[in-house]
Amino acid sequence: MTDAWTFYTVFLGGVSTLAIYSFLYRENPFYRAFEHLYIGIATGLGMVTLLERWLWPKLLKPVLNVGAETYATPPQLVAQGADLTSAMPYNRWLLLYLVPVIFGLGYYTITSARYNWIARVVISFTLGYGGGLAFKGFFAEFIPQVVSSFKPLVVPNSLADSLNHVVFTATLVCVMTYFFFSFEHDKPGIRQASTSGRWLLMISFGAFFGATIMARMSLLIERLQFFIEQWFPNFQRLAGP
Amino acid sequence: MSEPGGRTFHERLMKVDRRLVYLFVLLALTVPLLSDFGMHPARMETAQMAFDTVEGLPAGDGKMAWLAMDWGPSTRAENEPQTQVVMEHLMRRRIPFCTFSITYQAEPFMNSLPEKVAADLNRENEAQGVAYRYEYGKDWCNIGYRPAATLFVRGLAKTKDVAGYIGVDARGTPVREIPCMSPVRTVRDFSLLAEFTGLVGAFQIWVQFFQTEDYVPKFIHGCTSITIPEAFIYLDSKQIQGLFEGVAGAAYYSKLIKGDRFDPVGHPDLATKFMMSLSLAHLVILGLIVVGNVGLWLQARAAKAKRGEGGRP
Repeated sequence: MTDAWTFYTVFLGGVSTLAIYSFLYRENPFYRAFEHLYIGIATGLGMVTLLERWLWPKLLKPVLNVGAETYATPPQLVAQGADLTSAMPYNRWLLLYLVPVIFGLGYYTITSARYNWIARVVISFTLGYGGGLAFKGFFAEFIPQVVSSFKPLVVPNSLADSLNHVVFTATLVCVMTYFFFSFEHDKPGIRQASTSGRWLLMISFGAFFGATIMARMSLLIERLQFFIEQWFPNFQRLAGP
Repeated sequence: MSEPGGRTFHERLMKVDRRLVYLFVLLALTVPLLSDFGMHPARMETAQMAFDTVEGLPAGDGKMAWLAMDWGPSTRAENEPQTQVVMEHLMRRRIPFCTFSITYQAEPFMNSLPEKVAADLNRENEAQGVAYRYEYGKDWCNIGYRPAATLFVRGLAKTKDVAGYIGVDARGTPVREIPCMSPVRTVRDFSLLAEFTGLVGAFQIWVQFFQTEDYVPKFIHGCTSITIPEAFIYLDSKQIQGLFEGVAGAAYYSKLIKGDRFDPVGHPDLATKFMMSLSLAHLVILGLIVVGNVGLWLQARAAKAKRGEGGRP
């Protein structure tokens, strides 16, 4: 059973990969079918994982008091035959979990013309806390970067660091100048800085593009290795010794 | 210069079927994988920084490492070797760690990857006559996937009772009963945060929220090649203390861990094999870029000659 299961899962993995890569040859129904299959599986997996890993153990199981003895009793005591079920009375406060659940479910009223105001309340709440988190997150993320952008142009006893800092500062100033749209870039000094900023941006885009190619190659390597180490040997195992 | 069929060399060059290019790249990627030949990876300063950060962590002080495996099949090629080498390093140093993810697609890897690393190290210990065995619960635990990433991470950083906050691990065992997690109370008990991802925004969540007003754990980051230029901003501002630049960073880190045992010629590991393929593919792509530009140059020269504006008549 296990061998058959492994064979079919690995086999299907290879067929799916070939189907997706068949797009490189040309657009075809084989590719299209597996693309839809992938989207469906990814969505289904997400829902099941959410239910199995979060909603069931963290919400439904405690609220419904299902399997409370295994949830709360140390396994070694269970192994010794201890029955601590009565020692763990149902916590009625857990029912408060249902309040945010019901509130969140209000989002689904968005399809109702009569009750969609409830969805708007939920959305307002989401926007409110999202905005608050983003505000806090912005400062935590960007303030250290702004601070670190103030670099000494001359680093004693280190020509390399000094050069790095000069290049960094010049790049920062030129690129920021390019993105100043409040005035014309026709003044001497401003024009050169703006043009340099555009060139420096182009260089950085080149770096991004090169890195993107490297990433895509890496993904292909992983699939090739799958074929070499799992897919083809799978057939060899089927053929037997 | 016309050739049989009436098409010039540069015309043929500019009309090469793109599928032929794919075939060249495919061959360049496959050949190194089929051979057991590898080369020593180039020195990477950023991976060295990551290594030094992990190497500098005190072992046996009751603190843990938090491994955020925010990746799935789509970026497995780069993030898996990165995660694997950090796990190996932590295990060798006997620093317990827990795996966690804000993406559900990481679920199977959070289970299988530490098991694989532990099995390899246990085999090595047996061969060397070392009695120590790496086990779940003692050396690592798997928290699993949790939704609502931002809220969860923020809550984790603020809680005074990490075990109570997390509840149960991926196997359903209460975290309080997992030996390696028992000394953990707050975020201060995590000496290291290692985050691996190719997802947009995932890394930023950890930068923004996995800290308190007076405590920020050491932070190393494994990114996919696409986001390397962006990740340098965080390295420059010292928000992270080490970086894996795609699979290349993992290959060099692997060399640092293994030291004298690192044998790329004959026994290349996963990351080194990947690097060989990648390097050869890059050479092919560079060659193709040169060929393409030569074709363009010949075409432009021919057009100029045709217009009679210069060049050879």
